[in-house]
Amino acid sequence: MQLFNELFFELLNGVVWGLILAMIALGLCLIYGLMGVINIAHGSFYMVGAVAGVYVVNHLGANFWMALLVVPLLLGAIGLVLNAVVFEQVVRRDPTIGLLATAGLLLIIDNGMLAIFGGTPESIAPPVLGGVSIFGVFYPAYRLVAAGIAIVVLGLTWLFLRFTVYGLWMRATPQSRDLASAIGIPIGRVNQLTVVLGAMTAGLAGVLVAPISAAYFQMGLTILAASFMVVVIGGLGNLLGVVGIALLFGVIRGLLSVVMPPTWAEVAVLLVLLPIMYFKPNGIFEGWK
Amino acid sequence: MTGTIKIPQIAVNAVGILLIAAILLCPFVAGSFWLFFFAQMIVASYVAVSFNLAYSYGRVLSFAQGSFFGLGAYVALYLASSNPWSLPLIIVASVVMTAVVGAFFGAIFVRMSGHNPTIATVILASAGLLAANALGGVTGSEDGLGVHAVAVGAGALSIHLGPTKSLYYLLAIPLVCLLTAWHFVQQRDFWKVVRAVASNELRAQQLGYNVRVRKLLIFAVSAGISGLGGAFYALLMRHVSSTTFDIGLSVNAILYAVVGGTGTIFGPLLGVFVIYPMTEIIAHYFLYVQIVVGAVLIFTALVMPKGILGTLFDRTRS
Repeated sequence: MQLFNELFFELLNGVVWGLILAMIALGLCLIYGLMGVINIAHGSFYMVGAVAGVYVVNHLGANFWMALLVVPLLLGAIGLVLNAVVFEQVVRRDPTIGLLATAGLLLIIDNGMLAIFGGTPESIAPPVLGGVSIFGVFYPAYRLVAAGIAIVVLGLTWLFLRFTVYGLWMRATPQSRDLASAIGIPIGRVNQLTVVLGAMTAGLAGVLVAPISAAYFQMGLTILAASFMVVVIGGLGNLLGVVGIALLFGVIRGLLSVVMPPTWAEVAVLLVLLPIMYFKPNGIFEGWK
Repeated sequence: MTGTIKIPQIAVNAVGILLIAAILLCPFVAGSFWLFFFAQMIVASYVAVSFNLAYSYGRVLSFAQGSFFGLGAYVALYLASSNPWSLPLIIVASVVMTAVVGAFFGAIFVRMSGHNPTIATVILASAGLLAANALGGVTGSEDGLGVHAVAVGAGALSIHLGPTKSLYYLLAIPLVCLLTAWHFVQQRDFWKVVRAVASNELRAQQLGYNVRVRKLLIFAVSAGISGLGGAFYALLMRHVSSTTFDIGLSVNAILYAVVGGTGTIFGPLLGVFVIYPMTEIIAHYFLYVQIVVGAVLIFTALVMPKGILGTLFDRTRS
């Protein structure tokens, strides 16, 4: 019974983590699919969201829900600026240039946040206290709320891509950039929206994580391996695959956490998924389309 | 940025000879400050050279060279502390160990297409940092561990650790030999095959060359070179921490190579000698110098992706 409780607890943790990871990987996948830019700095968007969330709540005295609203808007503004300064400049060029430029961006953002907010990890108090008993397992209520918010955001993103004209454009453009341009799709605007959307979802994920684990300037690096692995295995540009693999990633990490410390589980799950990268180096859904 | 920039040979030779002369003559003319400064630049050059090899000839834009550097540093740290008398063991083991790890991951990278190998190196680099922090008992985490020995080697070949003249030459000579040898094998047939594989994989494959094995070997060698740099770093600093696994180290090495010019032999060395002093001077006034490094990398990528040598001398302008 003790084992079941622990297993179930970590399994729930894994699902929550997988959903948050999916929000981060989603933007990474969209930006690659649409613009062909591999955004090395994507983890930094998530970090900025978390650190800014902590600052807004702990130092400006706003409540958590306010931060949840304001911080993604801030990230959207940052995305807007970075799109003009960096992403728009690299979009039609050799992907190598995009890689180098976003790597530079990673150094700027991470060290910029260190310069502004210092390097001390800091967390915020969960806005929803108490816990819920599920099958006799006591689980922190906030994490369920965070999972719910993540599901809503993922759902809204899907609806946006499926049922709006921008979504249609965003799905059409990767198939043929020139054709899309020829029929009058404003590609610059679509790119802009993609970067903003990616930055906002990653930032939102950061705010959601802040009450669960401490935020600090290098936390973008800790998520980088997981989010990129999810995107490679799910298939670059395959959104549903990415969300599925993110959940799988979270669940495996959760199960491994039963037998080892969480920091080890984070590394171990990467090792577990390594054979997939060897045998299916270009994603497990390769050749499905 | 295809690694086949056409630059007049004389310019390359002149830059190469100048830099190598500066490295070899430094201890005769410079005081202890500059000796230490040059030694650090030489250590950085190993990573820059290894990135250039992996990128220009192994076709992997690698963000993991810093991880091999960190691994080599820890191997040297442990061996120098336990068997300080055996200098060859320290050097050979750190190179072999990192090359084997490089070959293991290289075997995965060469199976991937497009830019997936690069993403895989990002994963490796990021996982390496996580692992180094998770294994705090082995790595000493961010506080790091010190080398217990004062000197390595035995008898007449005993070398004092830290910024001494003898250690300086221990660091400098392998780099100089490596680059000089590389310069002279360029026209040999086997290196022509390496370049053929790098410039057009499909064509090389159809000519009957085993592309994957060659790329794998190149990547393993590049990992070994970075590991050697790491080992020298440990001997020079007498201290290694898990922060050596920070992806920032790899990004800096990429900047050196790209600024100097990838696909050239002496370009990465030139990049180190231009960028490293610049960052040190800025660091004197501004603590968060990595912000500037990032900005320079973005600028270089957008404005002069062919690097200094390529931008100045490339005749194949499009």
